[in-house]
Amino acid sequence: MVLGCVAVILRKQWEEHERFAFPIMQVPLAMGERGEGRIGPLFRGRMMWSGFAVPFGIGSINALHSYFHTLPRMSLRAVIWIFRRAIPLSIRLNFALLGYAYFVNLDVSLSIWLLNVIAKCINGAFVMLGAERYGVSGMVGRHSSQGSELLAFMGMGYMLALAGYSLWIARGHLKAVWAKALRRESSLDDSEEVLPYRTAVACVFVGTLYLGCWLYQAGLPPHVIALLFAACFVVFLVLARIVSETGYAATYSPLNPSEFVVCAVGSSAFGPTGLVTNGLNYVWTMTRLNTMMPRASAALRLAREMGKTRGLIWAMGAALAVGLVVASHTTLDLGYAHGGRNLDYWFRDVNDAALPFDEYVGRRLLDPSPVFHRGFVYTGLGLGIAVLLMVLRMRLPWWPLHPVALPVSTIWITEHYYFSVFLAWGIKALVMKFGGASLYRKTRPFFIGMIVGEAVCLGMWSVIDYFTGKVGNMSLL
Amino acid sequence: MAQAARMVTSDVRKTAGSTEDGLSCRAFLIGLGLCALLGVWLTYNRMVVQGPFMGWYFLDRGVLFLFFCLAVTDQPLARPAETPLRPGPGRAAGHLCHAAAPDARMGDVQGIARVHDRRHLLRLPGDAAPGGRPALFPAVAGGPGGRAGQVAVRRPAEGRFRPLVGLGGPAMELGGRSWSRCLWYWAVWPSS
Repeated sequence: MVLGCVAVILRKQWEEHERFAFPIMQVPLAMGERGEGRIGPLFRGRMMWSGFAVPFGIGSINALHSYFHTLPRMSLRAVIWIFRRAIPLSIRLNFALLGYAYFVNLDVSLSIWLLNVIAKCINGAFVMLGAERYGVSGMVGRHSSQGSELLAFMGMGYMLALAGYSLWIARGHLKAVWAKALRRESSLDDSEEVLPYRTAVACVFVGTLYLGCWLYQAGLPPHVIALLFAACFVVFLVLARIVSETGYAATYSPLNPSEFVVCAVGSSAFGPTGLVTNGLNYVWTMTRLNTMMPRASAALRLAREMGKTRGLIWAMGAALAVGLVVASHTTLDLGYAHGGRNLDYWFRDVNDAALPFDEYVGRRLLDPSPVFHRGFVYTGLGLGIAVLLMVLRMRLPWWPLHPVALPVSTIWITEHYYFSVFLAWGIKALVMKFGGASLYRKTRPFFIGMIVGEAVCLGMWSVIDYFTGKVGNMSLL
Repeated sequence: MAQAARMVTSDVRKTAGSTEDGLSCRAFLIGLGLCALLGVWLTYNRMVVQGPFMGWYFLDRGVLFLFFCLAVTDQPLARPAETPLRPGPGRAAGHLCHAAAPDARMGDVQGIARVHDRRHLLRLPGDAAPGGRPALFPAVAGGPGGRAGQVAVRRPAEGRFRPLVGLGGPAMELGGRSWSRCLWYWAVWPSS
């Protein structure tokens, strides 16, 4: 609720003042477009179905391989170990990322893969020299920039710089919203918003207070709660900005805000109860899957297609409530029915069930960590680099590197799928150079088809696997 | 004119069972049903069948797959449906009709539309004609504050969700691009 209301407050600023493109919405909008005939224009073009056929065909062959082992499997990944086998150079192809990256601004996609290559070199040099370990949890967990303290805290510095920039740019709008909320003289019109600004501001305050009380009752000290909320707000705001502005769909924080707080105040400030509470906070702070704000911003962008939207926020809230109740019930039901240890390996060991306790609770309880002073230096370094990049971007028209790519340059998904971004950047650069905007427009359906084809392939095999009882059929990985 | 159009529009929305924001009660309930479906399906898929790959970061493959199914299910079965009246010139875009007479009153039938495409069939309770035959074109001219030659036309929708497999009945009564409004259930994925 809080993040949805923050998205409402910032909608006008991002859509009308800063003119974000929301490229991630291109696919559903293109699918929803209607032309003269019965079939929408997207589904009538050969380009779309050509793009659709690539991931659908490869994915289906791989899925059939799981059923019939005599059929060959088409592998889409390779790993080369570099820096004296210190870190992997992963070459993976992901069709959805390739498709989404095609809609990303050329400077941003260049920045994503180039900054990732630079981060790889830094990380590789540090690991080779023995200063850090790759993919192993230390002061920060292995999910935060592959366990690299330097990259994780620099990532938080990037986030702070971008959040500061976002708030500075929006200061006029935020002042007007505040005045409107207090019913002072304000030129701002909120009649087109899904929620009046006054209600949105009130919901932010009430929701934050409720969350704070909840965490306090659960055992977190007040100063830790304040720091945690500040870190989370920075991360959520920047993630929403990145997704809305660039369309880079595979985004999450380079450093878990909970870990940032533990490193900033030391684990002894939490106490055992506070550490367990902080570990359980993983479900809403780590933001690998579940951050609300980018989705709320995207939903508000779609709501603009409807015209008058007042009241839609309640429909969104109802959708969220239904999804939350049903998914929670299903999770508990399956956990008890099958036994948690018998469920999918990724759910059990890698991402979900065991992670909060293995990464954030047990380790800190067994091995308490003091205040991590070097982290402040790294954060300051990252903040300085981001500010420098912003200044260069604003002052030099030819400067290609975009600061918005900095936080996503060190995360796991960019680490492993940078090649898809590189490929999309290369193709788009060639298309724009030799065919111009018209050729770009003609080729867009091909990449939309890739995204849709991958989703349909996985969805279709999900249904088939359900009926045949097949498990672990990862057709496109 | 604006006042007349507003009156007509609000009237039609009321008739169509829509709320003020344009989201009809039926679409809302079906959207909630889809949320529940996604909540069960994606969670089961994540924990038992395929692992985490349907919902991977912001690549909401589950939702895209469902949206694709909706789109392709809807399209071949598209039928005309009522959409809110919109103010427009006497000659509505894409439709052959006679302009409103200067002395017309609200609710008067003002012209005849030649329907060449079933999708362009103008359908209102009581005056719809089978596809391919001329249909009475209900145009609203003048009215309170209106001017001659201006009509508010009921534009046929260009497509909408018709029967949705597995859910029964018309799934969404949304027309044109605005049917992308059902995407608000994107917001539900985080909870899955």
